[in-house]
Amino acid sequence: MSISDGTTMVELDQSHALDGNAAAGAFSVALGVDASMIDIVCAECGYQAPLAEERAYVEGPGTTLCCRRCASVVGRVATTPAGTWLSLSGSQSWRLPPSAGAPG
Amino acid sequence: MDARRETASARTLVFSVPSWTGYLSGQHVDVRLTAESGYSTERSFSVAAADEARCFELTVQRVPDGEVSPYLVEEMAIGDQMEVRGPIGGWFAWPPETPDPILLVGGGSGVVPLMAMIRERGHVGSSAPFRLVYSARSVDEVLYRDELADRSATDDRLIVDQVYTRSAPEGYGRPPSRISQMDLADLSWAAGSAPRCYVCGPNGFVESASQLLLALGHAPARIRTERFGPTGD
Amino acid sequence: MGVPTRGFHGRQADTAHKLPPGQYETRAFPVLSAGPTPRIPLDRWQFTIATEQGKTHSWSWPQLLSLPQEEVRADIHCVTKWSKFDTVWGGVAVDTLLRNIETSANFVTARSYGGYTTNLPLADLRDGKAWIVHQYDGQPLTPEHGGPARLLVPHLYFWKSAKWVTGLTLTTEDHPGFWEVLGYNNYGDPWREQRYTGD
Repeated sequence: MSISDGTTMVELDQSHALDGNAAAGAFSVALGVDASMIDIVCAECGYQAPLAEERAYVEGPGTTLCCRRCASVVGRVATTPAGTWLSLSGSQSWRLPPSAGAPG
Repeated sequence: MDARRETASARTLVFSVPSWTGYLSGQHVDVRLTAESGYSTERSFSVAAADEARCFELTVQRVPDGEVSPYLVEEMAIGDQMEVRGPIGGWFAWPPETPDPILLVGGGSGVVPLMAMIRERGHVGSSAPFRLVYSARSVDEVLYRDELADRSATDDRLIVDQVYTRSAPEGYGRPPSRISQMDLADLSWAAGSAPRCYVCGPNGFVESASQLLLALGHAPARIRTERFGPTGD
Repeated sequence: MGVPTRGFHGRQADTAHKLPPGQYETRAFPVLSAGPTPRIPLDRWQFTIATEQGKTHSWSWPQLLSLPQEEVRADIHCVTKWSKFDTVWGGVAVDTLLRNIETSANFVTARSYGGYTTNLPLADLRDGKAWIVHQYDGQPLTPEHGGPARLLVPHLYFWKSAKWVTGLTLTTEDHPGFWEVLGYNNYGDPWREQRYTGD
């Protein structure tokens, strides 16, 4: 998929990404619920998908979640000694299902 | 707790845990391995089975040049411990109460969470129609071969089909090649039956298999995927 | 520290090198998939330095290659705890790019194709401490490792060496970047083990 980087259309290759499910553990730690079924709306393109269906990158300093459609960042989480940092920047909204339940 | 060799390059490890709640077949655990030096790394593994209370099994495929899988497949011994978080991931999971037909498409070690679903189906006595299309490089790399044969022989609502990509046994009806649209059309229900589809394996496999299912008319909402990554370790 | 697992070593190599605290040597060069990989055609690649006054200076790919090139031999230290010694890169010193640019800015935001940012003091990019590199081990830098070009600042943790770099924005105030806002250290000196905010 391509996104505009201001002046240039840039092709973003998500072929190395995992399914968001792989990031569910990290986000579940931050939120205290099973995060895999959280419904996310991308602020960049409006695409809506459960967290488990977005694209996850788990090998960075933290875990990055990208929109499945446009590859924009929709969430980040990082566990550090000071605690678990969570950013939802890039998302329009996150909706936790009514009985999200506790993580296993 | 226990270990069973599955193939020359894969092993099933049985672990006991202090607590294990909310398990659904298809879920995974996040494990952390820490060396004596303090170095640690994390990986996710699909749960292969969890029939007993507070016990679960992982089947690990050794990845050449991997950091974690060679240790788990060759070194880890009964009594050794590691840190585990989970089970996690209610999305890629089979709800045992559903009567929907289930299509399972697995590539290589992608069959592990699918096998968990097949085992859970047996455990709860479900008669939901299940079809597994399992792509492996060769007979030597097939996981759970005997168990899959036994289960499908005694249950006409569980159908297992093997697709080989590099070398097939002599006389095998299908020559070795990557999974194709025709394979999936032959080996699964038509899209009209609206099966739930679970596709798991390395990224390339999952990408092509899901595209093939879409081309066959399965709705995107009925397809759930679990990509293991480009190589798996 | 986590519960040790008997017999697990990971990819650690025994090392004669002096490691920064908490680091382990690797001989591999792992591709850490931390985000989507941008694919930038060279005929559209551009590197821009923007000053705090709003003035911009840009280089196309051929222009970058026509600048004085340097070979850089460096040790790199990733915050995920692996270190790799004697890596060899090729590219242009940031000093060369900053020549003739007037600025009184003290800080820099390095920007990548795809939106990643990281921040550094401008002083840490001067005086032979930083390069825009487009070669690794004598070969063109692959997209997985940050190609066509990435920032290389080996004296700081490697998340500061922004992959797919497209420019530097010089600023009078410090603007924490992508990981710096999420618990990672604003500066990132491996020798003082400055991994996290507050270290």
